[in-house]
Amino acid sequence: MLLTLDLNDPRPLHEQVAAAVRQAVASGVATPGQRLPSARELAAALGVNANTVLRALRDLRDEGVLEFRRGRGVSVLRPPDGRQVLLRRSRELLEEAGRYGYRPEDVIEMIKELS
Amino acid sequence: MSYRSRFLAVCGAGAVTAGALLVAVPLWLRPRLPEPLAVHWGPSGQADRTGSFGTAMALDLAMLGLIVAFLLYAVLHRDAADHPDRRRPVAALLAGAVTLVLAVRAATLAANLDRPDWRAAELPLMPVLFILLAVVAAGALGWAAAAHGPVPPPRETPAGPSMRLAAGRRTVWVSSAVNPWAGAAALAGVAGAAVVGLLAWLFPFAGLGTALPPLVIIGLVGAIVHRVGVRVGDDRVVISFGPFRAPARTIPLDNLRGATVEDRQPYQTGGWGLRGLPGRSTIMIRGGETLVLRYASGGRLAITVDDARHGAALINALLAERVQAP
Repeated sequence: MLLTLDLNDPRPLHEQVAAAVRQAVASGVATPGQRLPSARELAAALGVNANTVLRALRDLRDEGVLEFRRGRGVSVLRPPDGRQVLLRRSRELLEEAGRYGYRPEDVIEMIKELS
Repeated sequence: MSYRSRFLAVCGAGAVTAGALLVAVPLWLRPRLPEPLAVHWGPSGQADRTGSFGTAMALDLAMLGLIVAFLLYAVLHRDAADHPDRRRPVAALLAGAVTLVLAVRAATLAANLDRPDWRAAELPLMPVLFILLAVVAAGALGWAAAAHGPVPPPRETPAGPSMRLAAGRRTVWVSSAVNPWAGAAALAGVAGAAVVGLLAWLFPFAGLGTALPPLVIIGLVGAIVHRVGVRVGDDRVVISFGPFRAPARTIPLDNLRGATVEDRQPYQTGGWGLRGLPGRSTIMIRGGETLVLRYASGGRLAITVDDARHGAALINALLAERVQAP
């Protein structure tokens, strides 16, 4: 399973880990039914604490993306809700636009130009 | 004369010399040997089995024939002479095997020499140690001697998959492969060991304790080969075995020049487990998707693991990045 963490992300680590797993599921790198590596393995690979990974996985379970099964570990239940993913990405986009001095209306104009 | 012919000629000359020694020396010493010969010794150094002179010689020549057959197979069929990473183990194996046959025959003859009867032939521990030392030394010599010779031009590594890495991001890949049969064997071994241990403790007179070590070994080996995990990140590839991720092996990316994906089945690698010689080995947990790591030194290591395509892509991307920004 391929995971990407943003090194400049100011959010708490567990949210970043959750975002990385969510992104992997949303992009189809991890498919429904697929078993995730154990929390300890993910933690070792990402270089974070195992509890941080567990917290991220529990958040994703509550979102309905992952499924915890006794004795079978954690597996992918279904891709995250498209609207939720897009909302999250849009929020990130607006934040980045703000850093460059663009207002949300400017971003909307840009999107209109593109489509 | 090509290097292969010279390799065969040198090895062949060695085999012929060994064969001549195995025939001539025993025949020369025959008047001073008992009939039958003592051919096997117990731990105390006392002879416990006999064989006729003719059988012993036939056995030696048969062993030599097997060694020569292996030589021919390795050189003619597997191109062992042309690749240093194959030539060295083959030469070490041949030298060690021939030395073993010669040394065992020499020790047997020395033990039987001038004895009136095979029961008087004694084989103390020291010669046995010398035999082992000689075999190891011959193997090392063979290895060293085969280091000289042609090195084939490095073949183009088949380009594996790759991916684009975004700046300011840390990308890792974690995957594993599981063999349910080995897991079942591990469980059976551990459960069996527990039951036998309990019974042995309850009935200490029944001699059940001897069954314990094999069961514990089955349990341990089963647990270790039940699962292989691979993780790629930063500057290394880590391969770990078993549910506790130990033992583990770390390979720095500096030692790699690429990774590819192949499809491998146990019948191609010779079975399950760790297969092949160092530099050409395969960690075969289950048939199917296999991640092949290519060492900068020319060797390769194959690991059967799920989702190998993404792993190979990440390794290749990380390597490309290192070349661009040293």
